[in-house]
Amino acid sequence: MFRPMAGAAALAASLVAISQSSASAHCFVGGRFFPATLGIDDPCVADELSLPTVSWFRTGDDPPARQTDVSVEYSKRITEYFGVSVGWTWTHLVQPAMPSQSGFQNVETTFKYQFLTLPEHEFVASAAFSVEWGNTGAAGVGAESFTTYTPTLFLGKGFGDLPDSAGWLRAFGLTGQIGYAIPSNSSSVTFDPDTGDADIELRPRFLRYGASLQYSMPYLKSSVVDLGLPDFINRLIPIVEASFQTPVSNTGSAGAVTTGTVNPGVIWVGDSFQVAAEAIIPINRQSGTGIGGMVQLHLYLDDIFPKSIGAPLFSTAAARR
Amino acid sequence: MGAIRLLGCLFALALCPTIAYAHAQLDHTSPSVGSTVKSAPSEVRMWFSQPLEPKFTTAQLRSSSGTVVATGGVDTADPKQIVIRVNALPAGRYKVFWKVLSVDTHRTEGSFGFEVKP
Repeated sequence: MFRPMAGAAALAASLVAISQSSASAHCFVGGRFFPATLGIDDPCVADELSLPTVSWFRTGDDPPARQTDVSVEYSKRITEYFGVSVGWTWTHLVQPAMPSQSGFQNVETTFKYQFLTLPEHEFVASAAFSVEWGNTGAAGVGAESFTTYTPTLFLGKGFGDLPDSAGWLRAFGLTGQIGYAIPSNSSSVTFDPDTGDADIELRPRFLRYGASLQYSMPYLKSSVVDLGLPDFINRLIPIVEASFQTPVSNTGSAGAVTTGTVNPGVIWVGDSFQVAAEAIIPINRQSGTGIGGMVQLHLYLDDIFPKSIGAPLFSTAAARR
Repeated sequence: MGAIRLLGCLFALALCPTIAYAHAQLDHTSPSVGSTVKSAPSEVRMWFSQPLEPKFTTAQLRSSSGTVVATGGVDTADPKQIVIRVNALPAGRYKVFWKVLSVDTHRTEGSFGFEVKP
């Protein structure tokens, strides 16, 4: 018999959690700085370390479980515009009337190429190929036994090229991503030892997409108008992120319920690190229960170690970005 | 425990300005960004967060029509400053375009405007 993927809500929650851990990059495009974002990835490659990203939320299961994730992501430039990142997430699940579970999610590796940078328009685009390696995590916390490949397009656009008459609107920036998650196997078959019935578990393909709208106080101060605000305020970037995933094929009877979260928060940008805090607001019952949160410390390795581990392995330019 | 120590070391490095470098950021300017001044300035001055490489640092002052009015470079007295010296600027809107290379070889750039309105 056919049945929808077991624990689809749990899978959705774990995929959202993984996407929340995959944030990186020290991203200057013209006069614009796109900070590392928590819900989606930013559109640049860089030498950076997110250590840690901590998130907590209640899953979309019925009854919901309390999930806490602690993530680490290391990003390394191979050349000026090509980089690799590796992410790990440790998960702690507290489920009603069941023993709690802890363990690692599958390891995720992303290869990213920043193929277009238009400084005068504060526009940047990158293409990436992510691999979530199956069987590298603990099944008890939702890590899948199969590998998932996700080609993804990333975009970033600052609005500093608007006419001067646009005034404070020029400090807005927008980033986005869209990817297509392809499991290595479309289904798996298990047999009931008692009845001998075949149990076919479908593995849907997902469209994974998201965006961030950010208001850069550093940009406002340095490019639009210096209001003489305290330095702490001038380093803030209020932000709203949103990330979603929609099953688009091989969904079986489960249908195509979109899951995702909206994450309002703020990022404080220092000279060599940033800290961020965002709320996690599920868009529907399948995406989670109640409001969660996440915090991140993000280190700019290219600034901390500009001439060693913070530099590209192979550089053709005399000067780095 | 090892991971905690590593995190502590990295965070300490990030916080330590004598070890950690950074992209050169525009800290403040004179005339200030987006301001309107009543008297024409004799110079436009920019203060940055990091020392700059003079050979790879440029600055242009342009009128509202895009004409380059003056150019400047790193102040010899202070490598964290750029100065553009100008003769009496007529009333109007001006825009400064700058590109810099910090001493740790990171590039940054930007622009800002101000208005002279006697």
